Amino acid sequence: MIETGQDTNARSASSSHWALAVSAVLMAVFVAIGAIQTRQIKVLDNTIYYNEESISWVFFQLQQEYQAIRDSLRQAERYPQAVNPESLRERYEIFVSRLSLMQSMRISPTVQPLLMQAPTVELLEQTISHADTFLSENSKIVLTPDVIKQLSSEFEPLSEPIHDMTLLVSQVMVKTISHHNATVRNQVHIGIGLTVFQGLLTLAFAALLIRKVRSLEKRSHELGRARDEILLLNSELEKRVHQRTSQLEAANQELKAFSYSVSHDLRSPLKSIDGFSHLLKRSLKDRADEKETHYLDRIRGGVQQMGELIDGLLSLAQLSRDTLHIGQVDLTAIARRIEQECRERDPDRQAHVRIQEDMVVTGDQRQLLVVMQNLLGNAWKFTSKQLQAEIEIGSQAGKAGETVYFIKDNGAGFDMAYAEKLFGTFQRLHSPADFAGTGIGLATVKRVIDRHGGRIWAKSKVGEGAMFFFTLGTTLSPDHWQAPQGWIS
Amino acid sequence: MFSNFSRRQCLLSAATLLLAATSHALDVPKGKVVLSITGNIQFKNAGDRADFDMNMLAALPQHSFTTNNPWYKEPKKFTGPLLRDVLAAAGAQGTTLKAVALNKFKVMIPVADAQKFPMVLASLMNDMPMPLREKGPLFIVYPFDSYPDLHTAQYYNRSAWQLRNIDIQ
Repeated sequence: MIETGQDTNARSASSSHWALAVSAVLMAVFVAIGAIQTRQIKVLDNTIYYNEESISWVFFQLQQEYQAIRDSLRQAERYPQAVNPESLRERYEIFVSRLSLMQSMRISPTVQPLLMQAPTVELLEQTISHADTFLSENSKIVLTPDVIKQLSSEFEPLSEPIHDMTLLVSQVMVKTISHHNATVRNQVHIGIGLTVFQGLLTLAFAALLIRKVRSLEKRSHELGRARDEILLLNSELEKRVHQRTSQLEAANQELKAFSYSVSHDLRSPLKSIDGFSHLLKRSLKDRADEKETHYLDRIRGGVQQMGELIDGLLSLAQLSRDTLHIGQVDLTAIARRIEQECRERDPDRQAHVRIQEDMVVTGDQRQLLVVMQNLLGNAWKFTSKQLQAEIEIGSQAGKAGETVYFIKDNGAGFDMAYAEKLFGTFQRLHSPADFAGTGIGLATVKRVIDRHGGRIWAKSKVGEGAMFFFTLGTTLSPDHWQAPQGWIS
Repeated sequence: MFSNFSRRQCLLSAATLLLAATSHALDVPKGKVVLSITGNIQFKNAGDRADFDMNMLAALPQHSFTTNNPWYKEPKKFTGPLLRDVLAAAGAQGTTLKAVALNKFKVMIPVADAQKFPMVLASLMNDMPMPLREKGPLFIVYPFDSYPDLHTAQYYNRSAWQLRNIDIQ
């Protein structure tokens, strides 16, 4: 079964929306992963910073150098004769240099608990301030046993505060690094979760893409199948049209042949009836009474009407069968000629006929003459009961830019309700008593207009005249004009 | 990365040091010895060591640069002979030098660093002799600001201050 285009489109749109949604979530996950990784780098940087500054190492050195100078002072106190002032001062300076490291930018200001050690630092600074007088690198003061004793007593109490400070810093560092490790661990966990989620989303995205590709493939396959079916149907249709056209042409030929032979064959008995009724009337002469004479006239009238009908049918058949000879046709001249014939036939008629100048068209001269004879003849006939007949033949521009020719009269007109019957064979909208006619004229006109690729229609109102319009499809020059396809010539 | 020098580069560096060394003689220090170079050296002036006093170091071509560093908030100007010149003066041959500070702090420095970077063995900071408590008297300083990649813990740790001995390995 072929899926409808609407279903496929709806599914395709839904699939696209899903793909967009998954892409958006994927992008969000990428951003989240990027943010976490950036954060991790910062945490790692901080960790590296702490490591690189070796905060613990600084305090360890401070403690160690303190112990070294304290031991040196103890040694000097115990063995005053062996004091080496230069070595003692160097020892002292090395210790002091470690103290300065604490204030340097190497110690992270973010390690807040260090502030708690301010009293210890202050104590250290006070001790150094006093000891500098005797132990600084440039001091010239002699280090007597009393001085050394004094200095030693000042350095001894520093042991515990320095130890506590070093211990606290070490604990702070452990805590800080543990905190950072926990943060990194959490972020790694989140990162793993996001990566898994990202993987799942990628799979979903891939699944959607595969589904979409499959849907497109299916649709393409269905379209291909539909196209093949259409081609097959088209080919069958063409074959059928060809077959029907051949059948129609054959039927038409048969019909024309039948019509032609019937018309011809009817003429012989009609001529006999007409001839013998004429002879009968002449031989009876005055013997026939009024009633018999009336009967004979009715017979002859019927024969004459039948003859006209047969002529009309023959003309219609002839016009349908004849090959068109396309050329320039002067409709104005034709109209004038027909007008003249009408006036000669009815010299007493009061008629005002207006014919537009230079109406030259492309078509078959003989057939267009028949058209004009019928249309103008009708106008002349149906205005016969008017005191002053008004007939106009002209042209105007149509809606599509084509030229529309018209024949307008102020005659009897007709009821538009019967307009469809107007161009049918043997269709008459007036009684023969009012207006004579066979009912073949307009059918003939329509056949000719059809053969010229044009259209014919009419507008009218009973008692207010009628207006017939027609167009001709033969707007090309005679050299280029070709009969439309399917025309029966 | 430039810190991971190839063996070939190290050998070349050592060869360069050797060549340089052959062109200099080593005096005997007259003042207080501030630096002793031991290990694989060609020129010795105190047993197995090459001792230097401040005058001997000052006699070598002096170089200066001002750089930010992790020990001071503001940039400092460091002046002294290039480390590679000091090594050459002792005829040092090796790939690694062990720098030992007064407090016995030790750090290993690739000889290639001394070739690649104009490292100074600073004896002056902001044109003043460096006292002990200001990381003197000798301070191995990398030109941190000239090579931004040097601003890492690795090179900060290799910057030995209160330097007293160098052992060539």
